[in-house]
Amino acid sequence: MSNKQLNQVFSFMKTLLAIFIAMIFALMIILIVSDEPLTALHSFLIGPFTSQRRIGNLIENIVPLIYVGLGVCILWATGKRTLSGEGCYYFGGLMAAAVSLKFILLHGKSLTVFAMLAVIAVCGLMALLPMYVNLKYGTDAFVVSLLFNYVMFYIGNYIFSNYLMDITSTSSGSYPLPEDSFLTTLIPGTKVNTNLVIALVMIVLVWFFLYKTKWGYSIRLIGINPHFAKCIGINVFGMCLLAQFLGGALSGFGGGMEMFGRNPRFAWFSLTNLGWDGIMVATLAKYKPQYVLFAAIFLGYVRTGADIMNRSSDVASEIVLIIQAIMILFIGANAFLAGTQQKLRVKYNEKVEKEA
Amino acid sequence: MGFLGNFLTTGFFYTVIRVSTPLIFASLSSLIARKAGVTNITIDSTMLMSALTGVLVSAFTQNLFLALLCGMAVGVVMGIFMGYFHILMNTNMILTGVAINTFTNGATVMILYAFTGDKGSSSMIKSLGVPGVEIPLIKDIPILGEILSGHNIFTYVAFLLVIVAWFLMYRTPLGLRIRAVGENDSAAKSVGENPTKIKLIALGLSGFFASLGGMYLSMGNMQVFIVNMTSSRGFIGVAADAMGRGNPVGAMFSSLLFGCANAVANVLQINSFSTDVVMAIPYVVSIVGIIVYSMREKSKRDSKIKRAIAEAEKNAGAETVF
Repeated sequence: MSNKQLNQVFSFMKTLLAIFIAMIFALMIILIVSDEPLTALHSFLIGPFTSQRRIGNLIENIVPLIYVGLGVCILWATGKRTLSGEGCYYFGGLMAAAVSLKFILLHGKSLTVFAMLAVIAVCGLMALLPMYVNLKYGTDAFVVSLLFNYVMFYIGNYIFSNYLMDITSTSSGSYPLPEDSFLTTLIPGTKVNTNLVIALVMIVLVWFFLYKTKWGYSIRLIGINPHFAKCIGINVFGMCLLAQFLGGALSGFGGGMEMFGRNPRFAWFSLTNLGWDGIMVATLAKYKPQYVLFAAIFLGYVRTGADIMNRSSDVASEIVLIIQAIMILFIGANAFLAGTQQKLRVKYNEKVEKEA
Repeated sequence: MGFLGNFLTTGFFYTVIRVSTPLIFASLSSLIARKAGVTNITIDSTMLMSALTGVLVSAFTQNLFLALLCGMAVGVVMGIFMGYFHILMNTNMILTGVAINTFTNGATVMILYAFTGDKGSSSMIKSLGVPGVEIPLIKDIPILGEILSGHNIFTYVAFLLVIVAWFLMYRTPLGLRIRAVGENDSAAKSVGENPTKIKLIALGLSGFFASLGGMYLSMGNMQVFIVNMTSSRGFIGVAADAMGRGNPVGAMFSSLLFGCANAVANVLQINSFSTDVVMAIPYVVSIVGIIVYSMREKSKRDSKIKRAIAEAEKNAGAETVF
């Protein structure tokens, strides 16, 4: 085993340990807070698999997490951290709803495709602003993207409440979205639709882009060492913007796809918080698109479990946020177990040397 | 006058000061952390946590002093906690921030639910508040009195702390150390300072300032804790600090600018302007402010470099001829 493989194994074990620590914390909180901890635990851990509807729920929760996780993988690949995914996800949903309600020239699946193309273009462009001013004037990309998300939300909410809101209906939301543009349902009785397949394809595409194309390699190289990248003639400015465009477009794509089948109306009255979730997923996946699926499955599972626990026992579903926070802290902590890792590495290499 | 008349009232300026107060605390909090070289994005959650602590302690002990003390302590602990993970555990700054913010979002709801049985606000329990004060002489001045007097004690503390922060940063050994560590921690280390310790102290102070901002919201401005009541004021504080060019007085003025945008939003809202457009104003102002500030900084930097190069060329030209 080479050092690199050794590190990979260790980092995998560290992730598992972080998840384990977080789950222990959750267990302790449940034991303290709940009067009936066993019921709560049962619905938290087993709940998501007890009926077809709940498994459907689980998959529905996983799909958006895949998109935002992939989005953050690309957004952060250049080493510049922005939060554009949050605003783009919201705006993607809004754009998809707006186009499918107001663009009357197209019908059916062609409308779906057209709406999604519009989403990709608009969200990608919107994600450029924080990075552009960062590269041009040296502003803090994270702070600007954070503030710009609110601007995007209020622009979106303006469009929503002035042009799309259905005031005649009792359920608050937009006018009902055209049903002939909805995606095909895969599992009857649930809202699992072809969006799942597209999300899986996206994972492969993003992996291919980042690891098998010249542009993807340039973007990753900028993340590793921007000065070196600049010195060997990579267009850092353009590549950073490209990464933002793709990341924003992907996040928006996830939001837009939500509108074709899962929701009968557009009814988001605030930012969805999925941009932050994307950071969780991407961190859990070590910023590698090939692991995003597993991270999304895990996070989706914990969330669905917490939702069920919230309904069937006296533990609030917000416990999920605490689990996530602890996980991220321990996975992100480079110094966590670094000493142990070094010791193990030394021991292993000594053993190999002795054998040789 | 008509429409404009809405803005030129004493009430309007009074509101500006009132809504700026938490922003001033937040911007000072961000300033101290940034001087030490850390972008603190946990200010918002520190405010939230302290706001909740203050309300809960005051409700259950009915002791205002103890409540304030606990709120401040929580703020300091949150700051040091962030420092611990960021500096000692070598976690990325933004990742630490994201984790702590997520934690707070969950923890405040769970704690509130555990103590009050309500997931939205603490209106079920009766918490204490810090009163407002009339300032003896100033309150008798015709217009100025109405604007400046009668605010909450926290508001006056905020303006006082601007001066304290300035004094701390530029006139005390600790301030010098914090700035030195923020500029270049290897250099600070080489002259025998302990950058880790100083950064932790700075983040503790940052948490302290943020905690006051949080408690102003739940114990001064209102006497109730509402989930997410900071509504990203902590982040606006970071923006205000970025705009204030790292100077406490500058941070105060940019906080007042954001407060002004907020107050304008309030007035326009009453005049049935579209709320969404109006609500976006503070954020747009922040972004434009940060960009303008960075542009100026950059041109300053560029001209400095240009001057240095020109000088070097002049010196070099005297010795060798190309």
